[in-house]
Amino acid sequence: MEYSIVNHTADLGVWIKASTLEQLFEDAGKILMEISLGESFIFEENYEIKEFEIEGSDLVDLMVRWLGELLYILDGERFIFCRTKDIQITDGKFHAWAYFVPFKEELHNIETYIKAVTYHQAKVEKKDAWWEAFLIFDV
Amino acid sequence: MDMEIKRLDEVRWLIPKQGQMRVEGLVYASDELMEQVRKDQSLVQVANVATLPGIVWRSLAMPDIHWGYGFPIGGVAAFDMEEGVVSPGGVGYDINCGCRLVTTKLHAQEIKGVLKDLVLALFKNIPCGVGSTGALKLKKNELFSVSQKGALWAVEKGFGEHEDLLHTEDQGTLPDADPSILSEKAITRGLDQLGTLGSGNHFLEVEEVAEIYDDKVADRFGLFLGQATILIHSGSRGFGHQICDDFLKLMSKSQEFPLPDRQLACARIQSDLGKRYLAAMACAANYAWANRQILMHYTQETLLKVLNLSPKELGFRLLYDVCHNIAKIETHKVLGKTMKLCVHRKGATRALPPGHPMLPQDFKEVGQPVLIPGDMGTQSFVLVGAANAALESFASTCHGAGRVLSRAQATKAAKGRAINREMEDQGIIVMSRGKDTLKEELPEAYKDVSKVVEVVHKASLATKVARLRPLGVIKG
Repeated sequence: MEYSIVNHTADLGVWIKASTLEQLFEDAGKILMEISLGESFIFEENYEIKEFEIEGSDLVDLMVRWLGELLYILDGERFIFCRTKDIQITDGKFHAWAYFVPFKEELHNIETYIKAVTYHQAKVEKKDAWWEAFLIFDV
Repeated sequence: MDMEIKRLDEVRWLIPKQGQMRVEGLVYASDELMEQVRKDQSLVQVANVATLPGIVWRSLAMPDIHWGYGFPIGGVAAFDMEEGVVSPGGVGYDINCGCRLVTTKLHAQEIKGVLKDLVLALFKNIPCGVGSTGALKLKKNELFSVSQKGALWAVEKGFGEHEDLLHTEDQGTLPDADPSILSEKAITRGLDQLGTLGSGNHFLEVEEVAEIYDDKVADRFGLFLGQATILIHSGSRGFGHQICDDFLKLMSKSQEFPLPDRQLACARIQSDLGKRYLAAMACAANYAWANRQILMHYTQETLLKVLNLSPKELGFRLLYDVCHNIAKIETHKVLGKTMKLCVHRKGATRALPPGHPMLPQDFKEVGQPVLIPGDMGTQSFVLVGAANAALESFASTCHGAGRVLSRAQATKAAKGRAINREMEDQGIIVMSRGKDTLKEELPEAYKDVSKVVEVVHKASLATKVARLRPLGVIKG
């Protein structure tokens, strides 16, 4: 995963780079968990799998909605996103299967509580051979 | 940044109409604060808000303004009820994040001997941090009741007294809350987070009244020099975040006119979506008031036990509860004309001046208490709403210090330092749940709150009543 944290006065900005669009979406999810859980972003092989079908007006909208789902599952259902299988992104639609593990107080700790993924200055675009995303998280 | 800005006086800066702006912008700041503000994109955000349909008078920014997403933090904007819009981004994710100050009959000197025990007991008894185990577990019908009744629900369940409601903005209940429109996600997040402080910049502080500026008003507020008080800062937790997120996405999908920033997604106040957002937002606002009411009750229980006092001896009394992330339907005079407006305060506090009809009887003569928390190492302020607030800022003022360092910059500045030891050397006991919270909340990460307060005092939006010094701090 290739990413860097960008200083933003009140919130937290992040640049993400990946070789494919699908990889960019998966990495963005993992980065969201890594920032949230810090060093406790560890998991046992005890996965639950969930299916996602998301519609959005463009790639930015899809990305914000996808990450919003993962944040809800972390804070509302107490499951940590681990990885995806078979991401498909076409014509404003995102489909994927995603693996999660339960959040366990004895193993995991939320080090940075991310309230939301915002649309502010958000970008998802192809640059030469790479796909890049810029996102601001409300913390 | 190529933006025309005109200085009007010592603390007012005008952004004339330019580009797509429908109204002017006005920033309250000193020279020094303005220099900081110019470094980020918050002035552009003031101008962006001024482009929204139905905006009335001016797009305002308080002296604690800093770069947010969509609206700047420290922003105030009011919209005409017929033509105007309501924007979830103009409220923020933490709907009705706010503060309440509780006074006691005690002198701080009386508790200094047991301060460590007291802070430890508060840390143990107040559910804080993420996850916040120890929260109340609600059934769906109870969550709906909280959403409709707000602080009254908490009082009816035995958390505090009915008289607390009189000292809470809007008596702790926004009308027209409709929980039937909430998403399942919002409901899930609301079920097990009530009665929790949360993390980040939320806190509970034991404070000492260190200075009184206005004897008459302080006396009316029940404040005296050396007094022990409690300041609580919390909001609507994941429940509010989900409601904001749900409606931003709905509005983003059906946005009917172009926006300079997608995070400004909004709907006409009179549209079905606009009305539904306001009804859902009211649920979160009510949840936040219930939350602070419950946290106050836990605090009282802890103080009674640790200090071994009777309720009468402790004299625990809510001075006031204010919200600083909200959109409310209020009536204000704009250029002499009385208008019903939807006032967005994102990181701004209501500040009713003396004589205002919405004030409780005991504050009618002096004005509304305004609570301005600073950083954990220095000071916070109690102000009172003043005349100009009603004339020029929709009865609004600042809400806090405002960050100057990002969390990453603050963590870097704190590297190798034992922040809790530094605080203890200043006589402040600090406990936090999160590993990096104290580093991120470093005093240097914030503007000097006294400079922020000085601006609103000079502008006569709210004037200084008392300064509070922290003695004990718990953070999530």
